Amino acid sequence: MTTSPADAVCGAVTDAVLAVPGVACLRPGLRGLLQAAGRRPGAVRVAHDAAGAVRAVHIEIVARAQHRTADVARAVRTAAAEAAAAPPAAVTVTVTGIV
Amino acid sequence: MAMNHPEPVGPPDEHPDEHPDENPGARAGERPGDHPGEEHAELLACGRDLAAVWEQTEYAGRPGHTGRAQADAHTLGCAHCREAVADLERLRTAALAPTTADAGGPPDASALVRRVMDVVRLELRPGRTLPLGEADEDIWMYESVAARTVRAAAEEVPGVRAGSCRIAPPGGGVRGPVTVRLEVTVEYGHDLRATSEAVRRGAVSAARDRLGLTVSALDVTVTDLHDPAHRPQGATP
Repeated sequence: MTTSPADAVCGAVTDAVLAVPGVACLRPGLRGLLQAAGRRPGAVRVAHDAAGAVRAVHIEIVARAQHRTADVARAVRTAAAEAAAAPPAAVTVTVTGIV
Repeated sequence: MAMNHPEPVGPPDEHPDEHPDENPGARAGERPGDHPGEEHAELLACGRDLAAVWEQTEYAGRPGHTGRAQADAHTLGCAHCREAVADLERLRTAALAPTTADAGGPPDASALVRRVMDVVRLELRPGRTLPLGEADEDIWMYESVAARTVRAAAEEVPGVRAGSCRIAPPGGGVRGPVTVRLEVTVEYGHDLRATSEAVRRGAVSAARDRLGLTVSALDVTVTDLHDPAHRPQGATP
């Protein structure tokens, strides 16, 4: 089974994001619940440009209340940029919940 | 489920970027810079908005609702749209099954379906996002989530119950400090001026310290006074 480059980047970003302290989970989506396991979650989206380089990464997370939300989001942005080998400016992080 | 990719149209193993002109809005991660709320629209591979397709199904399936948003030729013929509708049906079936079994009939089904659709709508249209952190950082949070923290901080002030809390970004897609309009009710006997001031201080510092949200203005409106004797668990009729 082959993994497309887009899937690989998406998976690397997802792993990096979940490892950030203060991240509870990715945004849980109804679609995610309905879709088959293993399908990439909609909470991490990676866009590539025509040359195949990462152009934009959008991440939606649920943060833990014990951490300052902006600090968590900032750390996620940094971690995701590293994982995607993209500049931090390409990464957008939205906090969709606090638990 | 095989056709249910949120990615651009194409055979499964094909690289998405070989079709740069198809459904530009449907590209994964696409983010229209001036409209921070719009990236939440979940687009199907055919370019249709998932929320619109589901709403169309919901209205089309409801007796008496013939005027609005009937299923059109595209939805009926498009594999992606049909798959999305099937998802919704699965969700309904899953949600309805226990109730029907327990209650011995479908009288509650429409209310439950309405609740399910409320959840669906909330997920698909979660409201606006607020800028977090510094002006040059692309980090955001849902208004509804920030409002919950602000309301909780207000209720830490003795005698205060928080009501509506609206938090507005600077506008025009600009990142910057937000403005907060908070409504509270205060228990009889509390000094309104001192209480409002305590609410304001608590809310601003909670936004700053717990969230990292900079507040430029915070209006506290006392909308009512409430009875100190009222306790939720005191079951006096």
